[in-house]
Amino acid sequence: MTAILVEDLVKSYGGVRAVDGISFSVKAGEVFGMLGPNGAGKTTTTEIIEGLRSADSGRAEVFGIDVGKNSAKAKEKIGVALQTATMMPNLTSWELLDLFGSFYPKATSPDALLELLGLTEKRNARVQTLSGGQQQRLSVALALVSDPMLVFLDEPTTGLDPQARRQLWGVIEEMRTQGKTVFLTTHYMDEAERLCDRIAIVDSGKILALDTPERLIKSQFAERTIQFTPPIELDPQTFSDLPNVLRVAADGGEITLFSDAVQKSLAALLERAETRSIEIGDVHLRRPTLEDVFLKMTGRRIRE
Amino acid sequence: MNAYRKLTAAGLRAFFRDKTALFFSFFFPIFFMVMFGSLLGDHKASDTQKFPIGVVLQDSSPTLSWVPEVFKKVPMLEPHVGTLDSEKEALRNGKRRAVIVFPGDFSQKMQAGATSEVKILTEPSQQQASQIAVSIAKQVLDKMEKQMSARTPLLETKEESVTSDKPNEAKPRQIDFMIPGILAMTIMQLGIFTAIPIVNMREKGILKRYGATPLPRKTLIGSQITMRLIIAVFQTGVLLLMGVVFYQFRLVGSWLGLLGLVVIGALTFISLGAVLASIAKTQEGVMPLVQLTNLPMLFLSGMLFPSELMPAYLRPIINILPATHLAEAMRAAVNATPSPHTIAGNLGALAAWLVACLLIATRIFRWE
Repeated sequence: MTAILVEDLVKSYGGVRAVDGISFSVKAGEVFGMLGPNGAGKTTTTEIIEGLRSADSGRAEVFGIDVGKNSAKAKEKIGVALQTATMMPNLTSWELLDLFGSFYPKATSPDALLELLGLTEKRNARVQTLSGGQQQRLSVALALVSDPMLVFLDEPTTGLDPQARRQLWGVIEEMRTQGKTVFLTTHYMDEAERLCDRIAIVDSGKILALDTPERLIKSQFAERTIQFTPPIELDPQTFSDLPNVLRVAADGGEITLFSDAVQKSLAALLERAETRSIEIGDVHLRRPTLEDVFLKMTGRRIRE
Repeated sequence: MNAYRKLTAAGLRAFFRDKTALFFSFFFPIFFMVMFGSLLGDHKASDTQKFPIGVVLQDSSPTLSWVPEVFKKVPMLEPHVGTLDSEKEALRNGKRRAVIVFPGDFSQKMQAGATSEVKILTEPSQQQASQIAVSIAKQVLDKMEKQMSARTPLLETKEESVTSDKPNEAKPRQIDFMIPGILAMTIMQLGIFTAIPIVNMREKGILKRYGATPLPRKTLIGSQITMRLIIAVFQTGVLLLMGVVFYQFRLVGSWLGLLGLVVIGALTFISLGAVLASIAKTQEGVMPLVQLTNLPMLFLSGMLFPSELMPAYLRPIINILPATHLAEAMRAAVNATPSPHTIAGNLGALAAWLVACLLIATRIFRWE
């Protein structure tokens, strides 16, 4: 079953094509991520699918419902956490969840949601007294108030401390277990890599690549790196003849080997160090991350 | 229906927790009422305004002891009997507004039927208060003269108010004029100030968040209006109760008529607030716009100050302002003050404003 279907979506603002012919589909039960710098068209695309904006052309569907034609029906099926999480500041967390629950045919109990997001203590606290991270979590709780099968989370962990972030990851993984579809936008590569089944990399209103994190990385980088620091400065070329090592580099005392078969190269490296009695400390492997993929595809870092 | 009810309740809850909103909706009008109430409340003019005068009898004849008594009977005067020197000194020190000096041959000349010269001394530095004291004293002397000469007066004046024709009914007081004015002000401001929370809701993305739910817009608008109507009725109740308890205020018109007027007035100004919210682009921009609408209406409409004080060239503007019509209709509804435009005219003008504002607001209102 298809949770989201987007076909050739176009949206312009004053001559600038914020969304320039985007098409993709998300299967039910998938955690789908959209990665891109500010102004890439992520939020506009998301808001068109959420029924908050109309597209100039193209089509968006959720669970087979055309969002442009029947947005009220579509909105019943989805839960939304907007990036700007400000809510009526004078209501308490519980009151806010109770209020939003009344907008849907059926609603989850506010207390269960507060517990899920670790906000039980803040049940009777007014929204304006909550910290940024707590408001962020309350916003995610609001997205879940109708127990929707499709949840949109726009940068849900921005501004959270590491512990709260991990807790929210747990909540998203719990959603996956329950068979919910999650549509996530984020700036955090590690988050996208860890949570998302598939990722679309967006820039200037276009999808540059769409695949699993694993394959996105593999498609861009055939090699991985082995880094280590010998006790005395050595000529890096000493290691260039190791099996599967494609090239070597040195930066200060640290030597970097680029390999297309890390296991073989590493075994050979350790053996050579043993036979030549070189004590090499601090050996570590690094595989390219989405950050590197992003850098390579767009020519810039995602946060600038 | 459940969403509408909960949204209205949540709006009211948020309103009563917002100290700024409470200040402008309750404390501010109550402050006005207490201020005007203490200035022109139920004190009689005589309690606050007594003019001290000096009475000097240079004729020591015991038959003249009635003279000071005459002045004592006048409620606005506070006569002090003394010698010429001591009273002159008191006048110079500002303790007297005027000093009346009866000559030494007063009783002698009276018996002879001759004219006596009575002097009224004043101090130029306190001219205004002296003028009032002098004119009162002259009236007293005039009456004395007529009685002494035993002439039958050819003319007799009697003051009568045209508004209270029932003899038992108390005369309308200033505070009875002020209370409906303050009520009109409160309803006007509740409506116009609606622009501020609406712009806040738009700028902070609260409207957008509602937009991401299946909640119909008409439910959101309906609950916003309902909530403010409830506040308007509540404000009216609190202010009238204050008036009844502290200023013996009496409602002359009907309660139902008043309620209807509160609702129409509130609806008109809420829709005006919605127009302002559509024009203002930012939270910073909305406040000046609100005050630019509020202040001229407050001063021109006759809510607090009689609009007769305004220059004549402003009259066409004054006659158009919805605030003028609300204030006039409110006075008519609360204490049967005749409206210069007739009540139907006032209601018609308010309805016209309501329709115009609704048409504009639905065309130019921006949800984000």
